[in-house]
Amino acid sequence: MDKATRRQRQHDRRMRRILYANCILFLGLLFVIGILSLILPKKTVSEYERRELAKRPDFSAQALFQGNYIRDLELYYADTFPFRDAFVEAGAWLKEHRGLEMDDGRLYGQPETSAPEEPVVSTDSSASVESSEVLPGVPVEGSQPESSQPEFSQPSESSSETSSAPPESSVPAVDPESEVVGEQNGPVFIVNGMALQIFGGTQRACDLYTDAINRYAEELGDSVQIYNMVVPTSTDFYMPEKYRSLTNSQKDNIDYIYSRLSPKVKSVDAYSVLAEHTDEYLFFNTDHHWTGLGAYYAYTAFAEAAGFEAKKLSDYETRRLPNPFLGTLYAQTQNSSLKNNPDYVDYYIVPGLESVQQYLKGSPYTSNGGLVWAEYATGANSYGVFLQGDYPLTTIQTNNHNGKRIVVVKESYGNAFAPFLIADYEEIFVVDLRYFELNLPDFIRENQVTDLLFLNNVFAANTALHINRIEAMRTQEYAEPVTAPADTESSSEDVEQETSSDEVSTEASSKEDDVSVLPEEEDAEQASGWEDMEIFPTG
Amino acid sequence: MVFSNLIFLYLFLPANFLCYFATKKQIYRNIVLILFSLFFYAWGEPVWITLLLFSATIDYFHGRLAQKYRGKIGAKLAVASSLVLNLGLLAVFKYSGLIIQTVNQLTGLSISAPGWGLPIGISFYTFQTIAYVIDVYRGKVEAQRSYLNFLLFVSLYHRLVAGPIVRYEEVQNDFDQVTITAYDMSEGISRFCVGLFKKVFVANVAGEFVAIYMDGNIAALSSAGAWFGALMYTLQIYYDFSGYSDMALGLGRMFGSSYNENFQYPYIAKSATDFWRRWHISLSSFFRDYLYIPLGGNRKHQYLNLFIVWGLTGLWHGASWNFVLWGLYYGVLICLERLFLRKVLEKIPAFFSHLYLLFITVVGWVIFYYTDSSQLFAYLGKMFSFSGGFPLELQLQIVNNIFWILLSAFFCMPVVPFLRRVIREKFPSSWQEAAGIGQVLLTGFLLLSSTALLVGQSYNPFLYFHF
Repeated sequence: MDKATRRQRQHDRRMRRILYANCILFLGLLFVIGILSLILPKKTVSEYERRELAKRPDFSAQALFQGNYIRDLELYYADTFPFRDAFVEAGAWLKEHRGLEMDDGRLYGQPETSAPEEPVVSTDSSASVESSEVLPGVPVEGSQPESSQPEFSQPSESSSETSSAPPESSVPAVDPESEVVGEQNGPVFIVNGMALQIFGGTQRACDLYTDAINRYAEELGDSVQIYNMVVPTSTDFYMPEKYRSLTNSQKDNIDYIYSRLSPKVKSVDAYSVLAEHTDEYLFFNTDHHWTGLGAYYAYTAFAEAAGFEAKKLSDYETRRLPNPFLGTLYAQTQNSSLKNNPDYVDYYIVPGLESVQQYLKGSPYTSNGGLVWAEYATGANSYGVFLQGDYPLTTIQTNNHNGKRIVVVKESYGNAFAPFLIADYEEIFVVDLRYFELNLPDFIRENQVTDLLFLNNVFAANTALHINRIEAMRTQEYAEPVTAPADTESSSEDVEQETSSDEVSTEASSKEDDVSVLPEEEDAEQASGWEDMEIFPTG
Repeated sequence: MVFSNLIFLYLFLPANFLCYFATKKQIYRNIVLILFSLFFYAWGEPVWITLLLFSATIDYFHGRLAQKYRGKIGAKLAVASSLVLNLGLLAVFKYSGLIIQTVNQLTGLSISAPGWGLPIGISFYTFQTIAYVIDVYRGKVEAQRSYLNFLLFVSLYHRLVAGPIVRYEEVQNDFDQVTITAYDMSEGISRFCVGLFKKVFVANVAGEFVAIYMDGNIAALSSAGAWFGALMYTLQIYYDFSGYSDMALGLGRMFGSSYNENFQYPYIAKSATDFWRRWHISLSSFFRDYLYIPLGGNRKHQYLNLFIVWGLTGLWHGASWNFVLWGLYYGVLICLERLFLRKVLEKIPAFFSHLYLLFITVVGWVIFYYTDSSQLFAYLGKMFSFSGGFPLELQLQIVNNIFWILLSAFFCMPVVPFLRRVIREKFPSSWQEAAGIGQVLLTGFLLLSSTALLVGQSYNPFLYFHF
């Protein structure tokens, strides 16, 4: 055998081995991962996504023929896939490496070119790129792992609650059409390691918001002093000049709201005081909330409007959560520059606290206590350090005996704000507008409330769902949850519809969907984000 | 089920391999493939499996009859019966909505359309069996005696839901003793992984852009944005469809069949005529062999034939008039090319004929995209109004995805076959080994990253469910 033939044979043998290697690699991956997908224990909760993972659907012939069973099974399989977190991270890496950053900027999602209405524009009408009313994600701090909270039941109960009487059954709908809405994650622009939500508020949304507030002024008359504070987010302060046109002006939006408020309502100019301190840590880089410090400056603005002297920052004891914080906007984008620039959470111990009660949904009259500073908060839920997240109602008694009682109607921005009032009020009622179940005017009268503060961030003030809830609280009546089974059904539909989004038509039309794959109520509500009634009509 | 699905990849496919290779007897292997195919079809469409079985059964008998009475009137009747029944199935299950809607519009009646959706793959398997019966009639192939084998031919999941429309003659020897070599298996695997990656990394991403630009408010769009959206759709439809064909061909190869190529880099064509020799080849050759030539082809009333063929090619793509418009658009272009344009395109520098083809293709896809004519004209109007400048968000999208855009465009060209040929012909054998190792690593990368992207679709931080 000559040398050439031998070499040829050797080459053929090597090529053959390579072919085998290719087959073994592919088949091996399919089989190993496939088997692992069957035998590995399944996770049930995803902390980053703040939701329960899909559960195995129950088989029924009806579900099979309607296609729900297969769809749910696919969801379940993907949600519980082996090494899911690693795969998701790898996918995000691939996504991020599809291109370059522009001036260190990266856009996630698309500022809507299709605004149904005009944005609020003062002078500069060139800001043509605007987003729709559908707005970004919502507070999600309600879902701490149970182990971290030894004393109290949480706003977000474990799934056992869903199977018994779900409390949200009594949430009245102002307009059922508008409550059942699609949700989408708003676009985010990431620049300099900071995530800025693109703002798309419109004049029409502002009109609805101010109308809702003004109706409280009419209803309550002079018995209560009403304040209204609309808080800007980081976008207005930190968006580079070049990219301003991506977002609508929050300042113009807030000014427009304030200009339309009834003279009985006092406006609180949080914007100006925040604008004076933009070199300080007012907003999180990786989360859509403000920091305790941002809330403090807003508190000074409120004190000015309400005519009392604000406490100094040095009057408080400052504490910091030990762990770094990657928030909602990191979870949404999984952007590496956010990951490398995690936040920290400072909170201020305001002296004078006597007692706290927090009320879960479905039990607006009984409480097992509560916390103003939930020092156990960690990880993705670190903003939950403030009032433990979004309880429908938190009542705080202080050692002041000045007869001043305030109701703070808020979304999650209010959580960082309300504790500062401990120094100035005798009693503070923190009402979460999304979950509060009682009639608010009655509640105000019964508790001899002197001040009523509406505190919303500018996204919430432009969101139909929130405005509808403010409206609803004025007229709703609380009804005790009735029998469990009927409630479970109706609630599951609500949850389902809120959880769905651009697939609304699919979801909403399949009301027979199995309940079990849906996240529990609280998660779903929080997951649903700011919602919009026009974009996705109900099916 | 579709191929770009985690359950398909990690449960269905391994189980299929396991059962298939558990036996050496071909008849059992064929039964395994049939059972898996029926399961595959039933996954999303448990009801319509009856339709598939019906079509397979009648055409099994049509084939037998066409053979038995070959040359006699009986064979003609068998073909006619097959055409009537298959086209009838299409008319009822695919086009009834369009027909009723059109009748309503013309007559002012309000007949209600049936509520059923399109049964998956019906356009593919009906054409496949029509071609079979005609081939038997023409004596091109012998009718399949075994019903089982025929059922396998019709239902095999590799090509069931999105083609290619395989001719019976391509696979007639794949029912008896099939040998699967390591080379076939390896090539099939690589091909499959490439197709999967094309689908999930290119087509799906392009689809996200299409949703933003083509489904958004057209009035607010800039011309640049409209062109970007149309280009993204051009990428999406090619990568989606050819990726799916790659996966089908790859799967076929893994199980010992090799089907003809369905795509030959259509976007490097230099004319519409050339484009249709490269795009969805199994469909255009079907229309050529079973419609255009029987109508008289180039010999009798050629231009009428062309319009009939292209009108129907368009209609095949969907039950909406815009598809017919799209088909006729190509019919007109191909006629023009026959008349004089081809001579011009051959004379001018290649760059310009490529540009011509890309231009007409992109415009064609816009016609293809919008079933609503007012949207279509609004969008085309935007594209050609040359207004709105170059918006910042579009700049960001392009820069943020620049590598993806460039690579996606680059691989529309026959880069891979070129490299393979160069390595095989010009380089020493050690390079081939290195390339082989590279191919193995690529397989792993493509499979795992596609998996990551598929798993990533389920990543829904505080938002909603995905399907």
